[in-house]
Amino acid sequence: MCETCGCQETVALHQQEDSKRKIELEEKVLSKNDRLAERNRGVFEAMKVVVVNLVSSPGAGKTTLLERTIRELKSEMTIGVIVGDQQTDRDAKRLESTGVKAHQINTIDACHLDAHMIRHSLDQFSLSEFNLLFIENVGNLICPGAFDLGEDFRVVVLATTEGEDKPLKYPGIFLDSHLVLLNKMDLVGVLKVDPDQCLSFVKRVNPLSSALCVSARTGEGMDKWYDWLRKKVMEKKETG
Amino acid sequence: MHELGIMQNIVDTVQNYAKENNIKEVSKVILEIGTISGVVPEALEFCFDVCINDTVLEGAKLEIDKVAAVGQCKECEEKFELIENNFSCPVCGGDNWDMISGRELIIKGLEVI
Repeated sequence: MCETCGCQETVALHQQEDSKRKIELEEKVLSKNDRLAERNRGVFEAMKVVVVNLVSSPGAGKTTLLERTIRELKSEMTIGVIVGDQQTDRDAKRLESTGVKAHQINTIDACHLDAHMIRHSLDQFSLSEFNLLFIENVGNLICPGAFDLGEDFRVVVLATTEGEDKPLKYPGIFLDSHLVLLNKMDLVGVLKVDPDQCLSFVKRVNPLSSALCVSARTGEGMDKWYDWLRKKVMEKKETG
Repeated sequence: MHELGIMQNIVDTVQNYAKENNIKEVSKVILEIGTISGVVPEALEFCFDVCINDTVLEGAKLEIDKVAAVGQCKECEEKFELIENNFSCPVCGGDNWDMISGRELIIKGLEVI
């Protein structure tokens, strides 16, 4: 008979029950990434470089948008790009053809960039020479949302081809975004999508986010995006 | 599908904790996962079984506490489930709210022997 409570169970069972201990951890799963992101942020702060993390679904037009942006702004500021894809260096080559430094990260299995990858990629740049560093994330509207890279701003590129309700269906990535660029505005007439409704959904998911309508192909609306970038670069220069 | 990497992270964290605290066997891991954390609980469960082989967690159970996405309306202070209500307050229709919960990705605790 069990000596603990007099039941018919074996003593060993109770001993095992008693020896189970509960431990409160309350540890963030991504705390390691968060720590490395803070370290990156410190480096960006010290070097006075504005870092923009561009996220979107595959095919929303991140690379085309960057190509045009770089061509039109590179005479005013020094721009670098870190670009993540599962495979190939096709995007880095495209971006390098605009005349700036681009470093490709191949994530192989991973569906996002993390702070550790960025930390190593920074070795490729003499950061103090740059005003603006773009990080073109892996095309994915879910996973990159969980990983802080230490960036100053997260910009979501959303294409009109994706329909109006992406912000409601994939809210996670929009929650932390500072700016949404609704791209491929040149296709609105063909697609019969309603950009205003899309922007109202963006506001609903993240009331603090700004939004701009652009077409990276035709250049429509891009001036406002450039002004936004100029302002951020100016503000960082003036701090400290 | 970044759940495998996330789970490997969880298992590594628990293993390190066990090593530092001289724990020989972990019988349960309790997670808190928000509905807008970008992580699928079912996929985590699948990955758990793969990741715990040959570790102090071998044979352990995984308990996932799902946390609803809740916002508090800045106008009328109503707390409401965000996704069900399409991110606007069901009482006053306001679109301005503070996030209360829903993005958790936390190792809440362990049960050890």
